[in-house]
Amino acid sequence: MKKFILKISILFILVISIDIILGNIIENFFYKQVKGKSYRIKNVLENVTSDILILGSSRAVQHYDPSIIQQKTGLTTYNAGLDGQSIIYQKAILDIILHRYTPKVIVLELYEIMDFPKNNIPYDRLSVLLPYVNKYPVLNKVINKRSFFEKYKRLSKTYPYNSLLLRIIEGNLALTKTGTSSTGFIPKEGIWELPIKKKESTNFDYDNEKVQFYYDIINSCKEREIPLFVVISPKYEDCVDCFSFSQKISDMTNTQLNNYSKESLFISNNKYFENPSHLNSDGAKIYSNFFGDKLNDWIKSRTNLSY
Amino acid sequence: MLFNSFGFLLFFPLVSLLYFAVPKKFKSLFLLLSSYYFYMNWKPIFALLIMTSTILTYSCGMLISKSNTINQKKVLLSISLIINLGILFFYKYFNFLGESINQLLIYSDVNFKVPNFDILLPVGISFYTFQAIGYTIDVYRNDLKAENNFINYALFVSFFPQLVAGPIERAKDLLPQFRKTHKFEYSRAVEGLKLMLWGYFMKIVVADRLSVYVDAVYNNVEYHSGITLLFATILFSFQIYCDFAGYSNIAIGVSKFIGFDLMTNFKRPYFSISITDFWRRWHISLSTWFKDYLYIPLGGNRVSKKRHYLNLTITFVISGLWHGANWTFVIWGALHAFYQITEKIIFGKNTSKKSSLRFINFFRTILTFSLVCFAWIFFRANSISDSFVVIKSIFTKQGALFTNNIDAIVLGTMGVVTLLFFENLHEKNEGKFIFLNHKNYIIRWITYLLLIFTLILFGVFDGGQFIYFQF
Repeated sequence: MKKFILKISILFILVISIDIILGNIIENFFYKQVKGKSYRIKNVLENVTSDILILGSSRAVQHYDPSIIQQKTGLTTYNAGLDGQSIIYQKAILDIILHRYTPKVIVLELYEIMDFPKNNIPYDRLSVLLPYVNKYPVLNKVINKRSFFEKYKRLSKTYPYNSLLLRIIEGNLALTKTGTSSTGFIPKEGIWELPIKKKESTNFDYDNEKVQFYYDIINSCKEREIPLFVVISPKYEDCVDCFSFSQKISDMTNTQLNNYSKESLFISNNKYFENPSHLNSDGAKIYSNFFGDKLNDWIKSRTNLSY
Repeated sequence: MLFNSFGFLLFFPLVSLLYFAVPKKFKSLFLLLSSYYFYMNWKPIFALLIMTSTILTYSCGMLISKSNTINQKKVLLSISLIINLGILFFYKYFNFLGESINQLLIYSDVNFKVPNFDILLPVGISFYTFQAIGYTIDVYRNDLKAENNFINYALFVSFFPQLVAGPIERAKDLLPQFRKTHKFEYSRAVEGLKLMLWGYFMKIVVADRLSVYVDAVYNNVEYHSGITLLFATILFSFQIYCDFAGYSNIAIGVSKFIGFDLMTNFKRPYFSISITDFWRRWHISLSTWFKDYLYIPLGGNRVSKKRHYLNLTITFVISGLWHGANWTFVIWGALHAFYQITEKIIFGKNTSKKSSLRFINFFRTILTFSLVCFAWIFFRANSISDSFVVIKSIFTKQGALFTNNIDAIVLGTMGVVTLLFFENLHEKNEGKFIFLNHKNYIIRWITYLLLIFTLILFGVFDGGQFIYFQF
């Protein structure tokens, strides 16, 4: 037993030492990234100072062309959406961003099937923020919700970079075009050829905690007097009652929900969609023009916004 | 509790240390309580099912051993089988059967519907039920004396390393081990940890990474090109292997650490030169269980050829159904039966005999792998119609490879290449882990550290790794 304990102790010491050294090396390269998906998050957290900040999932990333919105509103715009992320991620990054600067307008793209159902997926996907927890302790609270053991896992210096090594190499060598857009907008090509799907409604058990994150975003904006434009962009789906939950929880806080999910221009035209949930580049261009006008009208209608 | 949960990393050393510390007479009881704690971490209520199965099979075993007439024995065996299989049927197959009957009634224009229950499948039920049934049959056949010590028997049914995903142990192998005193042995502990390390690599680095891509493709088969579906099918073959074998290696390693020997469950199955050979290497504890308790009682191969082929078909169809309640698993089993029957017709008894010509063996390995992959389509697809969409698309649907998340492809493929490299070495060295057991301690320790940091940096720990494919 003594021999075993000795050898296990040596192994343990070696693992801890290598973990610290390797973790620091990776961290160094992580913050040196100049392109890529990981860089995109870093850029949003540390560099972006646009007047209009767009938050959301891949639907935000693919649907809002900041250059068009900028033309329409005269305000600098950045698309800070991220694939597969939900309201929890939006709240987490907003906390960091608002600590650094105050945007003039925040656009929040809601997607209730990802934002509010009772499941752990959105927490798991917060792994993209793990490298930032030490730098931004405000993230601790939300990251610790991932699991009971999360705070212990983060005792490791390399764990936060789990599954990120390829991205870090890519970001350092600037090997990719992904996430390289200076405005955050990443359009996708392709046309959805299949017929429109009919849906009665989206039934799910909602998570009160996730609804609270939505309310927290609304309150953060109110506290700082940032106009918040909550929006649902077009979907290629014939759904009778698909966003009723978003409407209900928005009504409860007197927040205007701008639901363009069934805009006739888009819902009757498959050539604007890459898939039923995402517009393609042509669709995004037309939608950004449409949205820019709506947003501009809304901004002008608000008396408390000066620019 | 799962082996790949953080909780298990605390549970395992704690239980191991305490196990060696507790007095001899309490060791089994301690392991039994630990095993129930391990299981109850998921849904505590389902521990009642293990208890029911344990009490029932223990009692039947005792009564069978004391019975004087064969009829009495038969009745007791039947009671044990009916109740155990009844519980398994209710939890695993009731809704499946109901839905199948409902489909049939719809086709027949009959206005009746079998109700569907909201049933959650208890984890490991197929494994511990088979293990307990095997014990009763062994006692009935006089192959084994009934176990008097209830604690030891309850531990045999619920032994935590193999409770959730096997290997399905035989009472004659495992029960005697609970009667022995297990002291800490350095060599066993190290060997156990090495097996666990390799098991974790297979499960977390390879299987769970591949599942990210495979799930994204197989959950939306109609949207993908033929090349994508073919690629996903090949990746799935490694995913399912690393999932099962990785978990088995961890189970065997954990057991070895605390002094118990479990049977080898996988022997590098993708190096098989025939389907018959594949089944000697794949999920050995299950295939030998079916051989001993179903195939041979049916007559095995000591009957007419037609009957032999029928026995094979019955065994593999039921084996398919054991894996899951869906017609896709039935087809998967039937396909494997068909492969083996065809092999026997063409090659006779020499299906697993290696040729002296390397390229012939290589060709046979590739052919076997292709046939196994084809069958995996049915195993992985969510429905029979999906399976046919996959097959049709592979041959007809053009389009680019789905590369929405290149990480899953690159890291998954790297995992498979690493796996094949090591498996090839194991195959040539009679299953020995060359680097993990290298004479040179520097190479050995570098291998440990490389595997540990591969786990930390490339392992999939939760749903944080995903491919966005939600329509």
